[in-house]
Amino acid sequence: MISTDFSNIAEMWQRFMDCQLSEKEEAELMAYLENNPEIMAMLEDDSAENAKLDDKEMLSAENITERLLIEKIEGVISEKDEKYIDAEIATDTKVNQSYKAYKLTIQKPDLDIHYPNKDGLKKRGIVIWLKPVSIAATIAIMATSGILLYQSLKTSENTIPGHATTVVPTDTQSDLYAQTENKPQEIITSDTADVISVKPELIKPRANHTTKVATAETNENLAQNTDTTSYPATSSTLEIEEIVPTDNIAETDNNTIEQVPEQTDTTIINTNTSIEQIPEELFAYQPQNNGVTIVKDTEFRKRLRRRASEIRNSFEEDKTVGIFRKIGDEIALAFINNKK
Amino acid sequence: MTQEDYNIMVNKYADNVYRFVLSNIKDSDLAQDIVQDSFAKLWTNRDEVDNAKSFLFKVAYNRMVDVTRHEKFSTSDEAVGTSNEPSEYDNNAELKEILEIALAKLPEQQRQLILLRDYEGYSYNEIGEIIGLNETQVKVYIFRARKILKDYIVKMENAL
Repeated sequence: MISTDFSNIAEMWQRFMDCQLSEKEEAELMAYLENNPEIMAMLEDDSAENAKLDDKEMLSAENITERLLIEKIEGVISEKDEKYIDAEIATDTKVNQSYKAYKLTIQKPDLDIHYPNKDGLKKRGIVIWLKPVSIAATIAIMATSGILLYQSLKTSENTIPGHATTVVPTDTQSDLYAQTENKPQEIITSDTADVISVKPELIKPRANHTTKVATAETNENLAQNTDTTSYPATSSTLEIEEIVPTDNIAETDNNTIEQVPEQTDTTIINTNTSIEQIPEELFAYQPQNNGVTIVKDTEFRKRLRRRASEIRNSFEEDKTVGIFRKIGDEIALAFINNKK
Repeated sequence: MTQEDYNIMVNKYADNVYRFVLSNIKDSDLAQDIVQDSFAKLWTNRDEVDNAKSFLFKVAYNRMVDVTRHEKFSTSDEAVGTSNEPSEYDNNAELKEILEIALAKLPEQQRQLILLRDYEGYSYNEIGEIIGLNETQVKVYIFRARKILKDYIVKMENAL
């Protein structure tokens, strides 16, 4: 039985490496090393370190013939050594027998042995079939998006959402009308075509002008009123300079803010009314926060409408580009509403 | 390494790695597991691996070392135990069987060195990279293994 003495283990290990242990001794050594992996690792390291010494041993004069025979069968012998050992093989029977025995030590793989499930190791399938699926999905999404966009454009060109009976003219600047939400909406106009935001903020007029501005209270009334109503027109042009909370409104010498009476010359137009009845310069109206937002017809919008009209005219000879005209109009509308 | 490259590696080296492993551990199921693990690691590290063949053999070798350390002795010990002495052999035993037994008689590491050298034709340096030894160590161990094998064969021939 192997003792736990390390020197004994080292000796046993060396004998094991030299294949000098009996079967029983080998089994005992392995059992011991299995229970002491740290000693096993140490012994392996020592074995590797001792290899250099073993190399010198192999190169000693005693083993020179053996070394040259091994080098010959390994194919690593020098030309000079090979001539020497070939001569020895040819003349010395013992060397010749050793040489034949060494040649037998070369292992030949059994080519009949094959890994039984090679296909199981291979990677396949997922990427191959996902690719066409992803392509098909992309096409389907694009086609669906295209159809929906086309239908959306077609609908928005001819109707105002929520007001199915309204017909929008397409050959004038009026086609750049504002989209409305699905409920009746008031449009406030004045002679100066100014557009005023009504609720919940108030508009602070430019200095040196006396302007009548609709208050939140007034606008609540306006919002409830679905009929045409008149308010008195202001005599000056209203410039939107700042939107201020109601609390901040104060009268000054140069900025007089008055409540707009219920009956004025300002016209409130229900969107059920035909667009043709709306003055051309009026557009872009959307209810916001239960109130009515009225946007001034600025130079920017005029330019935008003019540009849209030019683009449309340039395409009118070519029916195939009609869809682009629609898209252009839609983008212009969206831009106006976003700007607002 | 692309998927296609990887599949080419499977075709080229699966048999080689399997033979190498099976020659060391005479358990086909375990050998298949080790081959499978080796290729799984190759796929996992496909972007970092330069030499797929060496990588496969290195992983297989390390797995074999783990297996033989944790399982109660490799099958080589059993093979040696059953037919260690020349007198136990049938006089008609073929040389191939003698060689197999002689190979099984070698210490595990030397056996692996011989198999890598003879089966795959690796250089000493390449074997050293796979096993984790330097070139000189590989050379010495192979020389010692050859000598052990030769002595065993001569002994067997004399006995026969």
